Amino acid sequence: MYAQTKIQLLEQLRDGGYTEADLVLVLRAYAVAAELVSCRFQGNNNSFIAHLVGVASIAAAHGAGAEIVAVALLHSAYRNGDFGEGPLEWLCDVAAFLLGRWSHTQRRFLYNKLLSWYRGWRPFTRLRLVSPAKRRRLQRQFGARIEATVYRFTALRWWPETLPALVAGSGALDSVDRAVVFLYLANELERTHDGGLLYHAHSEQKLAFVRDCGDSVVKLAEEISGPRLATELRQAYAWIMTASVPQELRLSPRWEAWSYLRPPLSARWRMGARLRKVLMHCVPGTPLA
Amino acid sequence: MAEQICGKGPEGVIAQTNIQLYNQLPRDGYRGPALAQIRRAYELALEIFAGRCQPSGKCFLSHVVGTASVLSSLGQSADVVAAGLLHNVYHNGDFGDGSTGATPAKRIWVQRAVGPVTEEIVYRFAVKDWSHEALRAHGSNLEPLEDVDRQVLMVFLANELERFADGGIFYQRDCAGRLRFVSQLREVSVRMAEALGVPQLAEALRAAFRQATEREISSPVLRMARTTPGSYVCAPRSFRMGCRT
Repeated sequence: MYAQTKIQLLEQLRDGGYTEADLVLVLRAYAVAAELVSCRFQGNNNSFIAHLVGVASIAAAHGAGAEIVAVALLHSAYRNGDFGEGPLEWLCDVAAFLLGRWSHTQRRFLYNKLLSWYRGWRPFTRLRLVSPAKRRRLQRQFGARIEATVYRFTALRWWPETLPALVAGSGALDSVDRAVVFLYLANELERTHDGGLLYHAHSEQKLAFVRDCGDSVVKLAEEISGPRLATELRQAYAWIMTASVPQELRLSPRWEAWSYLRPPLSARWRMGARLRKVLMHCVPGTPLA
Repeated sequence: MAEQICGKGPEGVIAQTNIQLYNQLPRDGYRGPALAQIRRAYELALEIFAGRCQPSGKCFLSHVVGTASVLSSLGQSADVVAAGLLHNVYHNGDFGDGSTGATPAKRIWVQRAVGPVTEEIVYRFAVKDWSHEALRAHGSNLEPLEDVDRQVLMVFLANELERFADGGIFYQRDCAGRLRFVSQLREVSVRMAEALGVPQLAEALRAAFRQATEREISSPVLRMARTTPGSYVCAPRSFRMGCRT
């Protein structure tokens, strides 16, 4: 069983012979990751930080050093981390505020949709993913080597159409790219080993990737990490393709496909109150209630 | 026929994520509406505990899932398992109104989500006195208690087990104080579990408490890992203005 919480990960590393300095590095990475993906959840409603810890735990269990474990905790920093883009995020809160009279469920659904549209909007995509300011922040905190690995993780295209080339060229990868591919493999195992993929609202789409690319991923695991990770992936893929979950535990198809942000209610509603004040200045007669 | 997911997952281990809990529930015999109710409780917990962490830095949702997992493995009703997911909702939950404690509006919200039976357990958990003295006064004399109060005690004991079972107690700043509390109450808790008719819970509590008192707590890493004396909210940076912590 792989760790899913900070406590389990630290206990695993302590038992695994990592030094105190290693643990300090991992703790620092955890603190930053927990802040960046705070309130973010996966499409199956599992907290995002549990996924990051799971990837780190798999990496550690397969012999990765402390730096790679730290990268595993930070691997989604640029894709899903909230570095405080500020006003851009607030656009979505305006929408949530304007939809205030709707039912809670409708508001939540539309709020998530708007957030995902905004996040996917091309002019903001680069800003959302990697910006010099974000890179500088991670470089300051963890040094250039760790940040470069996180950056390359973000840059790598792990798509069905790119996997064959990755398999063919795996022998020529440099050490950083090998580490990145290893983390993608750990990421794959983390998403499948406990059946988490099956609870997604759109699990069929995700299972299609496993069906189409599973063999390539397993082959890549053999090349990059050795037979143990490859065997675990093969077993996880074989099992997940035949397993099913009770309908009552699956999410409604309206739910977000990949991951979504669910800030604390007081933060969301306070933001609404502030916007109301702004509107009062802009649009005379806006009710304060 | 496709293999059911039951049987896969960390058997004998306390679940820490909704996925692990969902895998466990069918294995423990929950079906149909019971599963739906527990899922609704988790979805409410997700909303109310978003961003909240325990003093050890562990996600608060993991703690409530663990509590529910313990209750599920003890074969408690779906209402009690759902109450495990929401047990601290009135004290630690963020309902967006900035208040703590149970208010009529909050109670209605919870009742609508998970039903009045579960809400009653959660409410009594919130208003019950959990001090040393009150627990000692209870002792193992549980005869006068109503069923719902026995269920509240069950949730409390599951909550205690969850906090100690993974060693999380050592990663919080006041762990020495917490350990003193344990040493004073370990026997009472164990006797309560026995009086409730769940010897396996009594045994698990005894083992967890023993492990807790025998452990070394002076590692520098453990000291660094400890964050705050109480639970706290870490809101996303873009949403921090005025967030209740």
